[in-house]
Amino acid sequence: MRKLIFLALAFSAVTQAADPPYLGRPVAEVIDEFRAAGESFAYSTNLVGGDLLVETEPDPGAPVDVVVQILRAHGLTIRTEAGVHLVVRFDQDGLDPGSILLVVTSNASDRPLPRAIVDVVPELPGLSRLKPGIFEFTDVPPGRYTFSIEVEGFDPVRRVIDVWPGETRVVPVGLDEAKPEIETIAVSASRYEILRDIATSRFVLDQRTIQNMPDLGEDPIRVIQRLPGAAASGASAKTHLRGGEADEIGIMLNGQRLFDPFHIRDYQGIFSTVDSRAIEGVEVYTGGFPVQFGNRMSGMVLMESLEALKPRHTEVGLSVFNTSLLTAGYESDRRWLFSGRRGNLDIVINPKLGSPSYFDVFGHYSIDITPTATLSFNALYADDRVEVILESEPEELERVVSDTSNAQFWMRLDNQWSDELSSHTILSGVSFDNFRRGSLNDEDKIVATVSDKREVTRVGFRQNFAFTRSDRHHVQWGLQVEYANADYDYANSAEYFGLQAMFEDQPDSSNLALTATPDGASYAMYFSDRWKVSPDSIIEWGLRWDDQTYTDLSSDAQLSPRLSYLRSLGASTELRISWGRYHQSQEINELQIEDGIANFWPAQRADHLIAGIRHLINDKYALRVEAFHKDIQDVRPRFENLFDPLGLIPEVQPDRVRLDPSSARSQGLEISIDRSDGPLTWWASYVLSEATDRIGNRDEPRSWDQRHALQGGLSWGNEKWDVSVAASVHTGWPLTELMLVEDGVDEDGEPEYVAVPGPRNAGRHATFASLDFRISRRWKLNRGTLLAFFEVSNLTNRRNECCLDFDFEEDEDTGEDVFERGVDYWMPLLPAIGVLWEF
Amino acid sequence: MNETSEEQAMSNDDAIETLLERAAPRPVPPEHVETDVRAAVHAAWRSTVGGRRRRRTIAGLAVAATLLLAVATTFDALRNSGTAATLVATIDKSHGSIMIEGARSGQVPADDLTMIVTGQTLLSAADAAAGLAWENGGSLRIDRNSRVEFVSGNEIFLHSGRVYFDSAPAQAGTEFVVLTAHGRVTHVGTQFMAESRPASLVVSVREGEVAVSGTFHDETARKGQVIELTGSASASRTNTSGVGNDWQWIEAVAPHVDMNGRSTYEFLLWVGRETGHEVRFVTESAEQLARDTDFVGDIESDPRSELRLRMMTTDLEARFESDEPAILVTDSR
Repeated sequence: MRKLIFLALAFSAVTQAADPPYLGRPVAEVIDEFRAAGESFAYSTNLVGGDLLVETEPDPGAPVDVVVQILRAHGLTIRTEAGVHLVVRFDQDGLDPGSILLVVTSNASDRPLPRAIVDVVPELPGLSRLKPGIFEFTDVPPGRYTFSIEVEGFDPVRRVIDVWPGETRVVPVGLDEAKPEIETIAVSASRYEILRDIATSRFVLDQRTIQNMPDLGEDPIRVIQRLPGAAASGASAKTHLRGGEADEIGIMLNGQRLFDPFHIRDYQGIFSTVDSRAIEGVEVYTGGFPVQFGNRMSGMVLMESLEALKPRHTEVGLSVFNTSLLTAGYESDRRWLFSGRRGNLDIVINPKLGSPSYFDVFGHYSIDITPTATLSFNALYADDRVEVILESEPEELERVVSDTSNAQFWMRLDNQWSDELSSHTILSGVSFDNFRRGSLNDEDKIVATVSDKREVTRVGFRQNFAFTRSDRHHVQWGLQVEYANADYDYANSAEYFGLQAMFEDQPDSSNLALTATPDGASYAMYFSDRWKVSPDSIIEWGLRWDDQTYTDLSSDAQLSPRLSYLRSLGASTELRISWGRYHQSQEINELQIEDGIANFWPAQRADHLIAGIRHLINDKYALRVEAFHKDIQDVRPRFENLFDPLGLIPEVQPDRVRLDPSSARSQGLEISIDRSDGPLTWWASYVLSEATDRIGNRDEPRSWDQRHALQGGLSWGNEKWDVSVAASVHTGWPLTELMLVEDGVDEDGEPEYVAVPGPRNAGRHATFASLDFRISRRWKLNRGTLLAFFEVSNLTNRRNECCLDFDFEEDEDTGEDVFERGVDYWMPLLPAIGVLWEF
Repeated sequence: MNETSEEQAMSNDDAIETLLERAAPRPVPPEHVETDVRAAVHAAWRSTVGGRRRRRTIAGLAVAATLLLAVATTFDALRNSGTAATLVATIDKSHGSIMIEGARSGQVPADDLTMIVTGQTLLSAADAAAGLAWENGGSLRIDRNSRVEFVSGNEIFLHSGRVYFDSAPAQAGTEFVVLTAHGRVTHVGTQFMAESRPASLVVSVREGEVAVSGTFHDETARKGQVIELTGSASASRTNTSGVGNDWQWIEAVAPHVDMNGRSTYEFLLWVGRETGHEVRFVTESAEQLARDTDFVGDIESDPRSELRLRMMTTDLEARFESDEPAILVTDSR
């Protein structure tokens, strides 16, 4: 009886302290009433503001239990220390860990899905797979986690899960079987989708994979050099795809084609201006791309900026190549990202070799202005102050200084007009300045100066629509208008001595000065229909029209029809065939003024025919075989250096030649296989190909032609370590010899010689091979994670031939000048280290 | 110092002054509470001794007591110089064994809220320390193994051991003197520590300026300086950052300040002053948040522990810099 009375009194005291119902009352008021009754609560108005209301009526209980229930709706909880109940955020450090039980099932059958791949951000240790499809995470610090769950054959799912102190969350996740939704099936052959979160997919080159690739500077554009059909020297970030020239690839970021996105552009373009940390991943077409992408003949690289998975995310990086800062976040209806990088090469390399100083910044801000419209702003600025010195001795000075600023801004509006119709509209602007000046001062070879200024401004408008009326047709159309003007101011002065003066038809000197101020517009329109003709066949056809007015060429409009076909041959095999015509006009910034050309050439044309088959073996291996043929017409004259493509001022070198192919051709067969299952992934590819120019009556190999190419790599990783190795082997690139031929006698009756190049690209350099390695370690800190890496390019320090060097050398015995042939090499062993702090 | 920083400093001083005022002697209990306590004590006393009383005994004792009181009063009046004992301090916080020795009595144990009058001496054991709210304003801390005699409302005699005094900025101009066998330490509005060793006097200044009149030399110690006077030798001067092991004992007996309803900004300044650290806001948003956020509820702990607990209830982080005396305050979100 006494107990009953006591309990009644106690309950009475509680109800007097803070009377229910609590619903709708300010949280602070309820806590204050408990405090007045003697309960020891403490809080701040920062977390418990006056506008915080009780959202659900708590169950009766002790004051602390009541308050805990009230706070939960606001992401708050109670932490009791020193006898005081503190109101804190639920994800505060030091609170009791919780756990998560994730049950992944098929919505159709409710059966667990054994091959589920679970990715969580931020990363969580302590994952164990209890049974197929059931995952347990233990000792989880309280907080908010984003889970990405993927299963082959099912639509991926993303879940945001809050883990509360000391609680176990059981999270059932049902997945829908992937339907062949027509919008998401790319029927173009040769499409390599490289997304962020699919580490076990074929050609997995998501952002993390890009980081782990042992490529210089973690460059997202360099990564495509690992794909089948790519040819690259390793010195430049630019790539030849399937025999095409390096400038035949379009690079797009957030829907906008980037304008010359390379650092050190006047000397190989060593790095791209896109920070790999700022993008989700890259998607690459090595050919056969759809009609919405135009004016490039070889390939497209598509990138989307990173979308933060938590409200605030920051990365600070320091490596041999860059110092970088990235911050991203979101808040209700808006998202943002800022990335800034400063190149460190000017600090780490010997000042005698110059000072390549550069930086780039990228900003992205998007806001949902209505539930169906999103407006985003993007800005990319790259700035170079580059000095390259190949010879620093005054009597042999070879030096180039190049200042470049490249500002690009674009605003994008995405509209979802209805369930069927959507559009995106882009307004863009570019301001580009480049000033290159250089001097060569070798009185035994060449004395030259060059001064090269070019400025480009461009504004553009682009609009694309997509319409899906039924599950049989997906229609897209769009238009693009750009206006640009450019100012070129070029000078040139060169005198030749010694061997350089002996080249056939080589003048003793050159004195070129050109200006050009082209301006005008370019237009494009396209239409395409993706048509599901049967349950296992899809056809996509499209037509694109382009025209340019700044070229001053009449009737140069281009019409580009394209057709692709996809047929499913059973559950594991797909056949893709595509044919398409691809035009590439000379853009306003691509005038070959340094080679004395002040006019634009007609657009080039390439016809692609591609057939490919992809087969999954045991759901673990993906085998892909693809054959391609490219027929290129209206080939633009181009200028190359016969012996040395790494010359500092290439246009004044005596080995500079103009090539006038009447046509060109590229064809090949690509075979690739990869396995992505578990912590160890690997890939391998072999390409047999041929790329030739038709010059006169002869098919000359293009200077990047590589008959056989092998690529392969493997990577292994766990929570702490990532190790990757990649190898590349290919037939040596073509070379041209130089001969001295007697050409009469001089006044003294001594024979005179003239330097005559041999048949162009008739020989081959030795086989190219490179083995690259990278290892990284991740530490979990009180705040975020720290990653440190070490990587080595060309691990074996193999001397891969790049160039020939001809000169007269004095014979030590006879004292006479002897004609000598030397060989230069691509990149030597190149180690690099760096750290990255993420929080 | 430019105008803005001067204003800032004044603003900080005002805030600290307010806080220290709040840390002054504990409030006198309400009259009815005092009456109740007296009545309870009286009743307890009566219940113990009352049963043995007899009326005739009371009468006899009353006469004897009156005579004795008269004799004692007369004797004391003749002996006393005429100075009445006045309240100089109240023990605010203490730990360990603290004893109070009266001018004419033996040692009695003291605890929190014990009032100290002139003429009394406080002795702290090896495990003890005490924080006293000084009647004229400020806070006196007494370290372990110390013997401090309370001479007047602005003077103490440090027989041995170590004391620390922190005057509120509002008390600037009010003199506080520490007398020792080796000399006299005088300050006007500052934070300083004085240690009387068998052969020397050591004075360390965290804030302000202190005058030291030694037996043989007069010295002035400024902020960040430590002066040691040993016999007739010249004073030795070294530097102090105002933090570290020598200073840390002070925090354990820092006065409790009720932060209920006070802003985070004020609280941080108080912690900074008590620990000898400058408060630095890493971002403007952190400072703004500190100014906009009030605390509700009371936490009784030392400044560092209270800082840790209070910060948990906000979106701010405060950490003590390891290489300089500063508290860095940042946004935690």
